[in-house]
Amino acid sequence: MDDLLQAALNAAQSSGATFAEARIVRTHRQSIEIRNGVPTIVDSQSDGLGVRAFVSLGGGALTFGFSSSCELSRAAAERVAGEAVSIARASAIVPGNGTRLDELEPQRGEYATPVERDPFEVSLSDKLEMLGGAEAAVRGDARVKIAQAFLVCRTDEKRFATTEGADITQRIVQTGGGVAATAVEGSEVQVRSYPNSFRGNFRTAGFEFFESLDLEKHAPRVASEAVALLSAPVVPAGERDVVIDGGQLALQVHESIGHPIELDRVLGTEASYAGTSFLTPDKLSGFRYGSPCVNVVADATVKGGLGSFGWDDEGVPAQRVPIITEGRFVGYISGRQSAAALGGRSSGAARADGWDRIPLVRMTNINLEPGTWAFDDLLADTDGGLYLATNRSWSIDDRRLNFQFATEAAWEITGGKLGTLYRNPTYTGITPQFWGSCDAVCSADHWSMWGTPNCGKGEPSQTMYVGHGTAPARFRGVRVGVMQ
Amino acid sequence: MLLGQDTMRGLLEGALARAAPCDGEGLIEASRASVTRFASNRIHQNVAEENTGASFRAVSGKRIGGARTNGRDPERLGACASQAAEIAQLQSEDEAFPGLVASPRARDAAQFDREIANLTPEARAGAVREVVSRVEAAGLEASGALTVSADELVIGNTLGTFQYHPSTYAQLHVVARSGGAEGAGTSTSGAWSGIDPAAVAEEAIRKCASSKDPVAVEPGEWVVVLESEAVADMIDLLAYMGLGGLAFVEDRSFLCGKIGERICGETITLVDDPFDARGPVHPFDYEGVPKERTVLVEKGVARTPVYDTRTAARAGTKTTGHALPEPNTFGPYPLNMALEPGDATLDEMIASTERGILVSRFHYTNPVDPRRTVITGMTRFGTFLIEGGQVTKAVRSMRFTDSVLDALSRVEALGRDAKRVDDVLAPPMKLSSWRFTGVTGE
Repeated sequence: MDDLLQAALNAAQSSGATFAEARIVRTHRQSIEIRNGVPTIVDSQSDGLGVRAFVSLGGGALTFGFSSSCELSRAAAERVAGEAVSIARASAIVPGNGTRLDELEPQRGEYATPVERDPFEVSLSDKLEMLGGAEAAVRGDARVKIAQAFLVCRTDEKRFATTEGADITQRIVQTGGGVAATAVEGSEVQVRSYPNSFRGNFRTAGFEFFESLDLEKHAPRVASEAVALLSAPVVPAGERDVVIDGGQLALQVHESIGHPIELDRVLGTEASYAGTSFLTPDKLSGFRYGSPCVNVVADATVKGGLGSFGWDDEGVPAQRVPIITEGRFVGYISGRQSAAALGGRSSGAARADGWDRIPLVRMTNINLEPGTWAFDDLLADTDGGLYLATNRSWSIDDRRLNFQFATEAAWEITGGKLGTLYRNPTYTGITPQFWGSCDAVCSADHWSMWGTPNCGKGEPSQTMYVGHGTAPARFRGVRVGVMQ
Repeated sequence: MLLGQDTMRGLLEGALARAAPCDGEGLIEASRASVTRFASNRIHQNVAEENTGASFRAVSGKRIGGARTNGRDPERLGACASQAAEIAQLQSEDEAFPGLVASPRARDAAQFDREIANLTPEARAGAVREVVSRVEAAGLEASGALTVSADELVIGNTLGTFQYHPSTYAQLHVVARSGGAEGAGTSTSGAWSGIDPAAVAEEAIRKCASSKDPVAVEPGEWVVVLESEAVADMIDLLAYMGLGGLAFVEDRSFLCGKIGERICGETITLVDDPFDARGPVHPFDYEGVPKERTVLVEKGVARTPVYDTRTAARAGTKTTGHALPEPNTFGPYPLNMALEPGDATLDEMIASTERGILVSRFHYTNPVDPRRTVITGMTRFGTFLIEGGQVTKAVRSMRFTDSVLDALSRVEALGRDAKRVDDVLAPPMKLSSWRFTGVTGE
């Protein structure tokens, strides 16, 4: 066990902790953006230690405190541990019924993201050359006012230990990027992105994933579509059958499935901030979440998922957990406390975004399982529908029911092909009705893993990187064109 | 407690020396923060952190490199500045970059409350106990968070700029819940004496009690009375969509082509005032440029976006002192917005409304069409029907989709009492029309 972690745990026990966890996290992140030919490069490092200490309230109930410091020394580790215990005792001033932890066999081991090329071993000049080529390929049309190319890579070196003997070492590597074109003409501003909006797509993978995106090849299409959107008609309002592309569907899954299945949220821990969930525990008895072709799993074991790891930040092994099976709600994602509240075991979804944060129940990879349709066949079967691509805006209510999304582009589906291009597409719905209207999901040939690196939750706020595997899918009778 | 100006200056200057032969700019922020969170009438999360974050920008002619780290070890900080210099050498030139700026010392405007800085875990828990006991006594369930922090910030560069500012912050947010009814109260202050747990709890209790048995109303265009929190949310998004200089020089902003022209109603004057003690005080920006009060919109007429040195150079003007930590690709941003008040009270706005909706707060607002300032979001924590000048019923949360500037052209009344909502000072307002486009599900 790491000496500092051992010192922290010893100090926590000496101060009266019933149980304690200690984490050291070293995060290295490099962000490169080339914007209109000018690179902005930021290389950042953040290291520190955090201790979570539980004290007994009697009768098996516990309360906890957490403290953290950027100072990595024995003295700081002991001080932080003592403070965590003090904070736990202060929490006991307003104890309620306290909390409990599920049973967990202490885990020991190591995990590292499988990578072919470590992104931090690729030279900066090579990265700038690739990005520069991609960004230059976006430029050309004078109406493209902003051409952008992005690369972000990150490693998290984590050491975790507990007073029960857990001892886990992990190295998580993330890489990703994209291109974007912002076209402006008069008062019209339109954006197109590849492979996804908000800086692109991300996976737990090495530089080989960024290379596979082949940004330079896709850049000209991104630019031409942004320009075309300037003069495209606005999507007409009405109820339409829609086929949603994988990238937008990933965010749809994120907002209307991923968040409401967070068990801590269901139990009210986020009530004052992000909200609660319409998925009350009684709905575990087979609530109709969607149509029979909707199957969703939470899978922290899938290769490349942004939410993939060996153990979560409570030391629980990564798992694959069914969430929705043939449209029926069957499971939450949980941590040790929330699982214990329902008499179950953690699903291994407790994650902290750094050394200075406690683990909260966060998505891992929330995946819509592939169906059976070929994409071309789906288009051919959806004449008169709309194809919606790439997220532009999102909003959902505090129980995760009423949502509204905007995408960058939409096309009329005519004769099995993408026809008229529309700008400013919006659509809205109510979560179970929307998923109930899903009647076709494309096959594994069209299934891809998408990464959402900026999911916010908690106070103080935390930003988590989560994954969503999706294939394009069709939804019937969706309200589109909200502004019209 | 505080490291002090001299210690922090030593850390900064020691690090910047390692950026040589580049010129260098750095910021170091030492912070200690705690959040005591509660839900279901108990403290369920209680955390503290101490961190020292540092960010360095190295400049070699027109080449810029950036690096960030944390910690107080002089060697680590110096290595970070040195790394920024190495990155700068690999960079291509940014022709638009005007260079680092030498600035005089900003006005001393410390907003540091020792009571906040010395607040113990027991004292924080005690404040939460007062809230929870009141909410519980009302037969309701309390959720919320008490956040306190003490910070020291230094910014400087090798051209002689040096700025130092200590500050403290406290926010108590309380939600009272019962079944599907929710009400919230929030108080934000730079001083502990500005936080009144009893008053915040009572506001949440009152709103929750009024929110029971909500009815559904038809979406559509409604007269609305927006409380300060909702107005602040709108203003914050307006800034995000186009009050920053980068959006302006890139032709993305709603201000483009509109400077000196009317963009909303004449009752609207929006300023950025870094020294208004009701809000967070920021004497200088993140390039170390001293700040001054900036008028963004004056009686409905667009006056200026906010600038940093780079965007100001592109626009052919001077920085307004609104740089964010460099390097960044977001551009400058106003951190001290205040909507100047009118002369109406909230009660007068309600009394003057024959039929309308009273909105306490917005939730999950996001831009839909930034150029047209169209946003969407939900109402939350208390939405009420106004009939015949009185609040008569609670209403189910509703979704809205509307243009902020269009709405600000439909202001019938502006409140006389501005409230600090996070970092925005906003009064309530009454709009002759606001577009609701949906209702939450059952």
